[in-house]
Amino acid sequence: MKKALFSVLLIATLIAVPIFAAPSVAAEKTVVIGAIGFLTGPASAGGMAAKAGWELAVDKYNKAGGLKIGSDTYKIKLIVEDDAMSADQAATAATKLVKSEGAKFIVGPLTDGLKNAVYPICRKGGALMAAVDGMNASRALSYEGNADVAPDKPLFVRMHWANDEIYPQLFDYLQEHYPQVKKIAVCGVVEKSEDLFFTDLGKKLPPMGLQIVGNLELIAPDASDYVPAATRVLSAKPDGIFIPISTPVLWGFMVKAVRELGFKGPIFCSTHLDVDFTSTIAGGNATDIFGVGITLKDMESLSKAAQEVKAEYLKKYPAKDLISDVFLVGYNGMWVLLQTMEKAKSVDPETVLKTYEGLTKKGDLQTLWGPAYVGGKKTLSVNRALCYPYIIDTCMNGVSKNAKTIFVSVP
Amino acid sequence: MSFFTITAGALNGLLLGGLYAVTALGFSMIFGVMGLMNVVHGELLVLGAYLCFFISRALGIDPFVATLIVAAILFAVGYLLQSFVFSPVMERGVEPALLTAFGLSIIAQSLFLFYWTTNTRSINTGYSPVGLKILGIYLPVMYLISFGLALVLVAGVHLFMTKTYLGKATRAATQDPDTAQVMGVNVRRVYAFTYALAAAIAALGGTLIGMTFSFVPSSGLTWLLKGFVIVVLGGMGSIVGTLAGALLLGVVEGVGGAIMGTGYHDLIGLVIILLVLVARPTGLLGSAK
Repeated sequence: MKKALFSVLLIATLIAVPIFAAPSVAAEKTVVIGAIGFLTGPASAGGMAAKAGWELAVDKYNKAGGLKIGSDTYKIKLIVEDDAMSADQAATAATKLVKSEGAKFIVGPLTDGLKNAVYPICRKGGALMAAVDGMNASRALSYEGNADVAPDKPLFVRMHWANDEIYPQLFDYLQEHYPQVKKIAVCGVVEKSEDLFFTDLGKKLPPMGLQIVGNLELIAPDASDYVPAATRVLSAKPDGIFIPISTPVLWGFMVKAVRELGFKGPIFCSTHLDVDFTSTIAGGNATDIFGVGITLKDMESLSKAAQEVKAEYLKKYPAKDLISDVFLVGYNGMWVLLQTMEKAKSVDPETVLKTYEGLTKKGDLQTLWGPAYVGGKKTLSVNRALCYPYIIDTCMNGVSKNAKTIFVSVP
Repeated sequence: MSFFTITAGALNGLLLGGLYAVTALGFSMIFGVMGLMNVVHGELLVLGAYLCFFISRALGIDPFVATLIVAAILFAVGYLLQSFVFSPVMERGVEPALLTAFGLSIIAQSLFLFYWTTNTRSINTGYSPVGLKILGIYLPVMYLISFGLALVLVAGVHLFMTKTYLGKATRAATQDPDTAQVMGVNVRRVYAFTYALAAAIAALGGTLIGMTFSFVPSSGLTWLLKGFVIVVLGGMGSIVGTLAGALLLGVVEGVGGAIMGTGYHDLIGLVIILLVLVARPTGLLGSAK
């Protein structure tokens, strides 16, 4: 009798324990986001700044409990890999992130050529690739190897403008502040799309009352002496000099070289760069230079959100590393992606993509510079480019300012 | 392309050749005296640039004044390097010394990267981005300064080598170390002094690089290669030849850049050098050994 009772109790216990021990809530969920940038090499300061921005955006969500996807909350696991500006290394990084780490979203890489190396791996692995940095040329400037979003590239979105989408606003600024400038010389780094820019400018500038003078002057990215290039550019006797695509230092060195050779006109650039950094390269007392970027010397002029990000940066990273505004760009891109995932109520890349394409009303997304939306259907054939406010920064007599807020729309 | 533009390119190139001469002089001296291809020379230039950058900012002094301090530091560094690192290794042959220099170069770059990061730096003053208009051509002030310094430095080193006891001892050690040793010349000390002097000159070269261009931890290789080309072109071991080679390279690059664009000016420079070496294998002022 006792044995039978004991057996019944034992069996009942064995049945009851799993039922009552089962958790009443679901286990914590995690979404893996991979990111690729140049963390080593001569431009690593920019890559590290982008990494810092990504980490700050992810930290903000994780500290608030996680990413709210419908009734679930996901912890974000960010894994950043180095591509060292090499296509091979970028592909290796992407393969590791997608196949080994299970990343369903890949942010980066940070240069156009490497996007072409990474995208096929993302596509094959079903991961959504999000370009968060500036593109040299959008799909509107068609050439082989164009790395921009396209209808035949599903699972690829862009959260930043392309140089050709922003330069018309630079020329508007030029005419507003330098009405006497009529002749423009063009130079830039050796890059496939520079010729297309030059041709495009040749069509767009005459109706504005401007003309291109001289030939397109291409400069090797590792050039040390810019005086020969400056001599050739100035031989066409321009009133202003435009640089469509620059390396982090080319603009500054061209400013220095042309000023040494007596040129007094404006020198402006459509590559995303902090004008104060350019001024430092140019000798610290640059003047009449303007471009598209955020100068860290004038943070007070920026939104509260951007200033908060900077404050968070200084809590986590050494102040001496704060030399580039790229951390704001990195933060912004990651934030836009996370907002899209929340709106999609899903961590499925296809669903997130479709949601992104549908966010076409201003204010559907928020950025560090104001309300934004997604566009591009007319010019890119897909709605996958972020349209949002940005800044023209200027340096006059060594003083850098965030001079004007513009809105970059991609129809 | 106008004659004026080509002339401006040639003149700027000639002046830039002065900077090239200063940066290559130390490399030429070590190669000429010791037969050592000092591949760490590029890192000495970069170290000079960094030290000048930080010292001039910390003390609030002009970079050329700071260079005096940097030169003293690099003189000491060079003396110690030669005495305790290269000297023992050179006794075993040229290859071990070359490998040692190569290893030191990698260590130096890594240390620069660790302490000073990859941020691009340049040494700015009120006069460094200024140009002077002479006969209608704008010439960067730093090019003029570099050219002047190159002439003074080359003349100074040449006089040192020909008129002083230490200079004559150095030439003796270059020609025949064993006989010089027998004749009472302390060859090891002569080598150490030569290396130290080359390193001190590299301090000035680094300052000029920093004031005229910019630098990052990996900049040394570019200048080492240029120095190598200049030394081969000018004649290995010839101080005046180094100046001649540097000026020729500067002019060729300046004219080539003016005509064909900066994408090709390095190529044009190297093609001309090959042609010179075909015509004169020992270089412009080198002698056959």
